[in-house]
Amino acid sequence: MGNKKILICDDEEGIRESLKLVLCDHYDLIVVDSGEQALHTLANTKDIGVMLLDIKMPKVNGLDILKETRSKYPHVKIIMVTGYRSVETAAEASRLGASGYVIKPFKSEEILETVDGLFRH
Amino acid sequence: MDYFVISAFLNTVTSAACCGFVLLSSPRSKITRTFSIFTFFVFLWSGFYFLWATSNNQTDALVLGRLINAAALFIPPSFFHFCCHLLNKYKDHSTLIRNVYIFNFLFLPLAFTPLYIDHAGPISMFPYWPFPGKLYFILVLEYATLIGYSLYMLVEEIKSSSGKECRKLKIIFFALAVGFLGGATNFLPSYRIPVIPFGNAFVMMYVLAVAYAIFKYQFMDIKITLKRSLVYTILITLITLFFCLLVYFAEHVIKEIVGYRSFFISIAAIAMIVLTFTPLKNLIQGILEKYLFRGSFVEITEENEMLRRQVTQTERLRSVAILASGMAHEIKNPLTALKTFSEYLPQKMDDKEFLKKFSPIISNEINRIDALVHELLDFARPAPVCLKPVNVHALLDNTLEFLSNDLIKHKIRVTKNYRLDPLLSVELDQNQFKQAFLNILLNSMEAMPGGGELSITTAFSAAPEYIAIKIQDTGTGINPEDLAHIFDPFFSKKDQGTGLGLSITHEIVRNHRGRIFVEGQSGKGTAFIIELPVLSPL
Repeated sequence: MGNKKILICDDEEGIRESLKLVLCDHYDLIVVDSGEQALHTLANTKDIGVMLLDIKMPKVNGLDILKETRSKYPHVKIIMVTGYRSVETAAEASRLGASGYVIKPFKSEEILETVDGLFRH
Repeated sequence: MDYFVISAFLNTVTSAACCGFVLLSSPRSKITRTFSIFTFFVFLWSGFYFLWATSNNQTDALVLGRLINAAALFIPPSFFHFCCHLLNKYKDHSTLIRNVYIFNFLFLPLAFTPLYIDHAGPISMFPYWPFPGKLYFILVLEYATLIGYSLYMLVEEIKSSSGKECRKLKIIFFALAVGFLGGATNFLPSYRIPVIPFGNAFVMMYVLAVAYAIFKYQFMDIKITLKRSLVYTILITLITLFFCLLVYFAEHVIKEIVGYRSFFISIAAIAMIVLTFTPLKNLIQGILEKYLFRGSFVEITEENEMLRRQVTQTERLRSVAILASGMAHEIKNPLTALKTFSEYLPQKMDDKEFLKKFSPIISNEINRIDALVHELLDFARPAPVCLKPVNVHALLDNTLEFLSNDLIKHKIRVTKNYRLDPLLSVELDQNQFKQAFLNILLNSMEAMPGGGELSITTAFSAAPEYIAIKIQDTGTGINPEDLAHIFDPFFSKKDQGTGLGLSITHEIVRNHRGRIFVEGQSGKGTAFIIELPVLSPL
């Protein structure tokens, strides 16, 4: 996988900064705070390999962004980052094509391992 | 002698029945548990009394006399224990109660020696009355002090209480006076005062009256159980009495005529019991309904008000559970930031950039958790109506926030059409309206099991000085014949619904001088429209 850039999409500043802190030493990061911005960034940036995406966001929720990204940018692997430990939501995310599902509050190794795993493949 | 045999037998049956029924009806309540302990000792006292009254030699009578008084020793502390729980004063007297129980258990071996009951001998109509020893005064002392103090506590509580509580305590006080005075008549022959203890029969009335008082005024939900237990207790008592009289008749009259005891009499008695059981039960049930459980207009109003408060609180707790679940997810975001910060802090302690960036974030996230917890606590705590200017949009958003995960899970899309001035506030009770909105939103979510659209619109109403909030779903809708009943209490078409959510919402809106309407038809979704006055509603 040649694209080493990661797109972080979360409406919460605390989560965005946390993910930046965990990943900034290892990857190039682009950080946005809404689904619309994520889609806009994906349309204008070619080498994004992985997107970390929150599910619960105002206006457009993460599952809708996931669906659209998978159909328009199938090369982008998507990890859902959510506080909702629901089997149904995880199954739905998987059905829509999510490559990973991380529950908040996460450990830094958990994020790194999941992202590294996707890049290795 | 027959009076004492029968009254002791009836006391035994009544106290055993009360002990069992009361305990089974509400085994977790400390009031019912201590009442059962107390009735258990009354049962032991009565049972031994019955056996003593039927004993025909001095040795048996002495042993049974000691057993009667050993059981009697635990009646005052167990009654006091019950009274303390009933009056919510257990903490004040727990040491005293524990010490008296310990003392009585330690004293128990002495209760079977002449120090407690010296001998059994004749007095008045009793051939083997158990006469006290030197330590018998302990029983009298416990009776006088503990029962006296319980009486004093009850009087003090009656003085400071009113309404239903006062009536309950008065019944218990009356029962206490009658029952203990009746039981205490047994002390008289013990001290060679030639008064026959005819008060024994009042013990049964006393146990029944206290049980009645506890249930009628304390546990409305198990009133039916008590009713049934009372019916069967009285029924068994009457049948036993009837059977005893019949056997007495057979022994004393028929035997004199025919020269032997006829087995036919027992068969006839059993046949009569079988034949009269159901009509007698119905008769007793009717009498109890009419005189004991019907209640005055004031009592019924108070009971209804109490039940209304209970169901409202139940529904509120359901909302609390939903909010708590939403909050648990909401709290995970600030926790994530805190967790990452604490994880990196040891290695980035000297990194000024890191500290500068995370310090305000952490402070904000802690405040956010604090606000969430307070919000839930404020919502859960029953509080008087608190009217203050509230931004309806913010309140709707806040309520939706708690449901957001469920909305995503159920594939429900939310569209907001807020047409009111964003700065407009309406005077209302925020917590009550959060519950009102929550009930409608939950109703809408349940109407869209396979997903759908939820549209929330705010605007000025056609009526002047009113705002309108419309919550519309694309769910299963409501049948035309159900529309008129949708806000009726306990009206529910769902398997697990209480039927109270929308009824409570209706009441909340009405209490704010607002109006609520429902529109919709089967298969075409439902719309709830709330209209609220912009000016102070009360």
